[in-house]
Amino acid sequence: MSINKQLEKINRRVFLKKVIKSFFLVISLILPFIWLTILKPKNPKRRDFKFFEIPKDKYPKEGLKKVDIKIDEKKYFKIFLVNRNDNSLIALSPVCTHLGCFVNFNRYNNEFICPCHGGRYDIEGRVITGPPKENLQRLPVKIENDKIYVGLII
Amino acid sequence: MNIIDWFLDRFRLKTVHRGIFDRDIPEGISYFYCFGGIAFSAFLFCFISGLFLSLHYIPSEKEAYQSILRIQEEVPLGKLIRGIHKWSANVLIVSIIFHSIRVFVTKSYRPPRELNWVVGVLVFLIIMLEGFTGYLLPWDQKAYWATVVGTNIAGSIPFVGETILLIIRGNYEVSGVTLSRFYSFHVLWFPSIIILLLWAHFHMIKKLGISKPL
Repeated sequence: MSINKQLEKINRRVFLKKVIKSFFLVISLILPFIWLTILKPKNPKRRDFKFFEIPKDKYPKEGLKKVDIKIDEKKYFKIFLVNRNDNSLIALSPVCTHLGCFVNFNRYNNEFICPCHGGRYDIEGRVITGPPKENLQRLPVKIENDKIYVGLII
Repeated sequence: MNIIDWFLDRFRLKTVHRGIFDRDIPEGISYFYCFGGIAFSAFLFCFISGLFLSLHYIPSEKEAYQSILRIQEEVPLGKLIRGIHKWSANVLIVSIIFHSIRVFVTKSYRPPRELNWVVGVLVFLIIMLEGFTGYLLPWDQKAYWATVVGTNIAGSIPFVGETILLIIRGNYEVSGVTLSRFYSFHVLWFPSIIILLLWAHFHMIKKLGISKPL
């Protein structure tokens, strides 16, 4: 009788231990899921272009010009303006399409070179060689009241 | 019985202290064994200066840069504390690298200390993440574009890259959401993980002892 009672006690202890263990196991499995679902946004939005004026004296007469677009008092954003031979203007974003470094323009070879991994683009932003797969982004340009505006994602 | 003795007697800390500080160390260890301690001191410097910086820093898109300027120019001793935070972070990473080289060269990672090596590598990884998240917080051009490039690297993983990018940035672009979660990682998540891991690191050193020099 007493042995049976002792066995019962031990069984109860084992059972309780298992319950507590599985409780902590479940919690530790749930927590990473909560973490990920909290971090992942439900409906992320892409930002729209905001338009900024390009000052008249910054237009390139021929070839390419690096232009700082004034966003507010202290903030500037660098873009490339290219005057094509048929006298049309394109605005290129300086952000490399591979990982997002700023490309530089090399005047000797007439091409953009990314300092991070050596991606190269021609003067109109088309990929020549290197890791980037897409061409440099062409920023939208619009003309209103004889002024030229360029769209930036800020 | 004066107040200090009373406190020590009631707190029962002395035996624990003795266990931590009065330990035998093997003969022939050199100053190269100090880098772990230097790294820990640098971590403490970072921790305490970070406590002070968090009093004045505001993790929002509009205020972050302004608050950094205020810390630099207006807050008393702000420039000094920010400098301490920056330089001790540099010292921390450099001394962790030297520490791991020392452990590697003296073959201290061998059994029974292999788990301690693993924990150390985890600490190193999270310290690097601390550096990465902390770099965004000034919210200037350099910080912004460094984070764009850094997170793009995670985004270039095939198939799951875009999901991972969303999880890290909280949006398609690096934005205010990214800033506030990086702030949370930098001041809450990663330091608490580091403290846990460091406790494990020191516990194992205490139990296993310092390895005999070759």
